[in-house]
Amino acid sequence: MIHTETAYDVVVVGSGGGGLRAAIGAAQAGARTLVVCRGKANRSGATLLAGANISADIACDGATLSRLGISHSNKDDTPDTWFRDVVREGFYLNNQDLVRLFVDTAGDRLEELLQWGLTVRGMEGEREVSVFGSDILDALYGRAKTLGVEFLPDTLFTDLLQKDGQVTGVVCVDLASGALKAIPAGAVVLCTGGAHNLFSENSGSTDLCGEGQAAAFRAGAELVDMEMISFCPTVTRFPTMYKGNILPYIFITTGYGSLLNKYGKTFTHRYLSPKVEQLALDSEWNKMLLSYAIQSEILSGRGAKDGGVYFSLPSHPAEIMEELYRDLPPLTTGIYADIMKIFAAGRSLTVQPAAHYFEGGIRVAPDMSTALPGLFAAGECAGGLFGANRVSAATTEMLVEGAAAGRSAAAFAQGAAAPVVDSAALDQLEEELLRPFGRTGGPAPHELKRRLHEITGSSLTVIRREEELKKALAGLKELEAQLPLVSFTDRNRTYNRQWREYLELRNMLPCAWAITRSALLRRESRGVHVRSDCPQTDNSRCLYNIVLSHRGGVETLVPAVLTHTKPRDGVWRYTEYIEQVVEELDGEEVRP
Amino acid sequence: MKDYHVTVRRSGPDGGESYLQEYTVSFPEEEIVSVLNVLETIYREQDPTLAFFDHAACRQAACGKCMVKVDGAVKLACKEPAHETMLLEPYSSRVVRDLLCQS
Repeated sequence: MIHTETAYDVVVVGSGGGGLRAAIGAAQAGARTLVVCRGKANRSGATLLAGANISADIACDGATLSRLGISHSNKDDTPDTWFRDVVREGFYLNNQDLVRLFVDTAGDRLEELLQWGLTVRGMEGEREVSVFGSDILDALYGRAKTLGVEFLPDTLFTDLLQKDGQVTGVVCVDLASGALKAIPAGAVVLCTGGAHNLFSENSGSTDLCGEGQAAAFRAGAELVDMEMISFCPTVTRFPTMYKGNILPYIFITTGYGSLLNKYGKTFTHRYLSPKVEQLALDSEWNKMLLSYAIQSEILSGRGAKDGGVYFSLPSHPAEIMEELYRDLPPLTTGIYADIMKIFAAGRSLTVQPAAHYFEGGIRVAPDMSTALPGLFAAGECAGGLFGANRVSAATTEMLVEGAAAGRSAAAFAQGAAAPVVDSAALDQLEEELLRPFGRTGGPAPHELKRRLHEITGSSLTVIRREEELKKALAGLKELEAQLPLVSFTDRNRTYNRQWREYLELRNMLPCAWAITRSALLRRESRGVHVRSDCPQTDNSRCLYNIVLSHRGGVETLVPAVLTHTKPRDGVWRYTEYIEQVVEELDGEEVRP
Repeated sequence: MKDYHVTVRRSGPDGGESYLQEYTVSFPEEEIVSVLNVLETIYREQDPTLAFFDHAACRQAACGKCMVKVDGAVKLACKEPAHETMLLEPYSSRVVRDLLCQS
């Protein structure tokens, strides 16, 4: 039997920056608030690794940065200018009402973080304040503790509880004991981050498995823009010890090192025009453009032997290395010092595009409510803010959306009746969650995960095409059929990794299905979604968001939310359209 | 290929005396592998019952949660290169199961 615990007004799932900020928002509004943390309260989730914890940034308009005394270099900038840039960078798929919230409240979120003790370490760009991910977490965690927020660490969220069409709490597993718990709540905020571990090659921590998106979808909420996934272009693949490390990306954005194919030649010029290549190497757009160029080179057969391309960092003349260490002081210590030894020995890192940020996710309104009453979502697990491409900071997204979601959830809980747990539904869920313990002879969960990684790795990365996507759908269907047959070698529920992988697959499969289905439906190339069989960006026919709803088995193409500004009508080749967008952005950056 | 000989001090989830178990895993000569890579490989290829911290791990020496005693010294499993022959033990006395300790 699943034990029912004490009820809370608001339960927040996830303890990265989005979850912590949501908890603060709920507690400030008087809600008794619990945060369910997959790992340690302030050291799990994606925030910790933002900018490799060397160079994370929080974005804010220049006028506000000037008012806060942080930087006066961009003081003619306004929220309106920033709004226009975010929408263009998102190729007009952004929900413009969410973008409004983003640019209008980013300054408040930054200002309060400074009051709560965040250290600013300089500027990284015109709108980007340089910070450490761990500093953001510490500032938020300290504030949440002061407000009396409670934390449940090392606990795996599995499902939402519902009664009469309203969310009434969460079900989770205490990983150490293996006990299943039902926690009733007046409202739930999902802040579970991205679905990085759907991909073998990813830049996230092991906790990012798409459980929020999947649980919301199962319960009847909608998913939006799931085809949109940003790949970080130069993530370490080899040697294995540093797999997933984004240091080569930090080097590229700082300006150091080069990308070489198996012949030792540079290659980005083959796929990008000079203007776009310049942009790829010198700006935050590099994620999308370099991923496109690198994946194209790998597909052409000129990649490195381990599957990626080489990132080379010349160690002479010595002046260059001295300059590098001045620019990036953390390179002298810890894991980065270890990686530097590889370059010092005259070797390179093999790098390749890896899943990095999920633009799509749970569909939310500007108050962060979802289609399910009592359910709210914020941060990376929510979709819509960045449209088809994120250039601005995900840290700002989590703060802005987290604050709004926490406030909304507290207000909803205040007006809601005491949460009721549906015990019949709970019994049924228990059977599903524990099923493999009672079975023998079925597939091992890590074997299904390996097959899932084969599918995502061959069909859902940077460059997609219909044939591959259809194959992926068929493969995913087979895995769905295998999942109920899974059995365990390990029969004990205490910290049972096979059980955890089974529960993760239960979430990864619907996420992978939603991404594949959406990628098939979007018959064009736009932002981070590139189809080799549909190489044009089509503003005449494709300015819609793809919305999936599990409850009705419904796929809907909903016209994009263009409440403030609209793009030019027409159809262009992918890279030509990017050039146009860039010219428009550049043109308006020139000021008298 | 290069072999890594690993001895792990294990404790069952239901308490009782700890015991030592030996594993051997191989990686290509030119590879650089961490203690965590070795543990992952044992889980996938030899023993899915082996417990070590991995449910919310950054794998980049930032979260500080994958501590394990390697030949007597407490290290982060993700940051410590695997020794060719090594003894892995829980880093504290508050063992939950195998190498996983209560934080």
